[in-house]
Amino acid sequence: MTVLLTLLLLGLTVGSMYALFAVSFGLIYNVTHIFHFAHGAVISAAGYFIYVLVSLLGWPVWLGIALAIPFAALLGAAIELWFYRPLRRRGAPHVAFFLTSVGILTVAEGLLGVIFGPGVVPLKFLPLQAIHFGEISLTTANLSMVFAWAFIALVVAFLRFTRSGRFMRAVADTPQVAASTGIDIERTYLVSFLLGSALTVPAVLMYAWYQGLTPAAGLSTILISSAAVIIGGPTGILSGAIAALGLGVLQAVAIVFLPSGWQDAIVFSVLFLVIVLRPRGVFGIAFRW
Amino acid sequence: MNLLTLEVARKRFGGIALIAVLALVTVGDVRPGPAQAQAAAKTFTFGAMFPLTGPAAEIGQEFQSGLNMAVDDINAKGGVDGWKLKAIVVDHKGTALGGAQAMNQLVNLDKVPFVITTFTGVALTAQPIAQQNQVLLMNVGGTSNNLLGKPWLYNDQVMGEPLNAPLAQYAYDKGGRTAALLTSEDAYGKDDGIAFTSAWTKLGGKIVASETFPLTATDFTAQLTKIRAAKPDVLYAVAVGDTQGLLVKQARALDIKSTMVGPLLTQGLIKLGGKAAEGFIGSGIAVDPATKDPAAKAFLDAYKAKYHRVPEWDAGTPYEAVKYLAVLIHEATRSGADPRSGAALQKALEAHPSFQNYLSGGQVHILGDHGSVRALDLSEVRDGKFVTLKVVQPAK
Repeated sequence: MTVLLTLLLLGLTVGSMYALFAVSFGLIYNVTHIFHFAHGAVISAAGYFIYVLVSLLGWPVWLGIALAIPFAALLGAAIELWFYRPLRRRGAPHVAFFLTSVGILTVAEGLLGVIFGPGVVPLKFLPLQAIHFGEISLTTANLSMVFAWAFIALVVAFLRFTRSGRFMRAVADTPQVAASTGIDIERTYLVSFLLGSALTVPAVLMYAWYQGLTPAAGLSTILISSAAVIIGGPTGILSGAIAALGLGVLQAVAIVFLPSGWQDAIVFSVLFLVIVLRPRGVFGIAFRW
Repeated sequence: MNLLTLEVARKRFGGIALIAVLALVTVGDVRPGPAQAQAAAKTFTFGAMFPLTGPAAEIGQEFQSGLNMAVDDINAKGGVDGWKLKAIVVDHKGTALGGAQAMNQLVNLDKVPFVITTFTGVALTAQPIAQQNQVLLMNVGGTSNNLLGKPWLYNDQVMGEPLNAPLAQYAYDKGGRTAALLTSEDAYGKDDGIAFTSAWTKLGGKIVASETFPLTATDFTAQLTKIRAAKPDVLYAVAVGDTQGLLVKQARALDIKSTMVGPLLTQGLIKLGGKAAEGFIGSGIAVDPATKDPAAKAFLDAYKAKYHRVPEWDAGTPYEAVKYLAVLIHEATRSGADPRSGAALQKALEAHPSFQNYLSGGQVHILGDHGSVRALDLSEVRDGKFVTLKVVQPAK
């Protein structure tokens, strides 16, 4: 029973981190409808940026993290401005956006490998220690993941209570109607890239706290977060977040019933089932913007 | 390629052109083709397959450092009978599929007669290709017993059974009675897990949990949570490179207090594991920094001067394999054969089945089943270094 409870808590914490990744991806995907696989490149780059400033240059942790937020936001915006916007202006098909996105991720992964080496880079300023709740043991990294929901709450508040947030929701729902009311679509896309990319910073910190960074970190996180957004459905960011939480729990608890190697396969089995049975996502409109 | 070039590419052709330019820089392979390579005067080209990307990349760099040292050393002394050595190193990514791709490239495109390979799964995939094309394959990493008795595949590595039996014995003698296994899902993890289980249960020990993880995994929490509940005296962990260090760090962070043991320790254990790696006990090819053997001492001293630490087995075995290749080229040439023929190299190997042990002195002997025999050691991580606990001499 203790094992099951521990795995459940583990799944909830890891699922919370997945939720933040899913929100950061969903903010861009749901608004722009670009399957922004290059988000993985932003995730990895943000992590290595902090590593350079804090671990290599010895800058204060708070400063490294604070500078990483505009860095990630601008990197995401640069991808929109340099790659996606020119494609949109030329009327490129969806597949062109996707292939461009995969290309950016692949090149970024290669460049990071060349610069930092292909091995695991630990963020040693984040202490990994045990935390006990009676018989249950988790780690400081797991505890940090719970704070993902604070960031998600801030995003929800932004979407509900700010002008830019309302524009993003309008563009996500019906871009043509939004444009006819005078909303600047291109500017709204840019805001979603800025915000979604900035959110990668707390998420990648939680990830690297436990697992360290590798050039492939972006790929592994983008696979889970994009799967969660599709499973949750395109009607809002919370549906993706809750799907991500569920995937985290499922991955952790499944080890009791299935061989360990099935953890990743479970995510994509669920994705396959959802695409076949509920192609608009499991939550329908339950968690609309 | 400089930043100005990239900026011009971006301005003229937009971001998509920039991707293409960067892709060429990042993944471009600019070495000469096989015809050019072989046409160069007296250049002996051979292949090597290491994991250069992915979670096992750290160990790939170690393999490569040993290989490069041997090539540089031989070429600096004028080569072998006039042949300058040139290595084509290909990334097998630590996977069997990557191994098949790498081996096909080396055999069909680069037409090399000799390939150094690592990792059990990779060597097993490469062996039929080697056999079909008469290419001599030298494994310097994989430890599975399944690598024995395969045509054209020879091993400068100790296999699972002799590697794990002393480890099990040591852990048992220290009072361990229950063990849990946490092993990678590839052939290395599977076969070494079997070898340890066999040795452990023969001693009277009990296996209380057995979990696996994909080679690319960096999060072992769920598996470790199950293992923690089983309260084993000993945690037997098989992982490669950095993964070994991450695994240990996460195990200690979950408050697992078991004695941790595993085969083939690498620098990744210490680099990533940090304090959590302290006390980890491993078995592997013996490294003796105090050896009096002049050839071994020269290698150990040169490595230490260059990298500021004693080499582990993963730098030593590729070094030995290249040095052995030099011997085979010499012997093949001396017998009047063209050393660029795999068959000539194999014939030379069969005639001279012993070579210098550069890690602890003496000789390594290739056996009839294509395995090799040499001294092993048990070592423990203490104060961030591997400290030898015991040297296990090979059975006569």
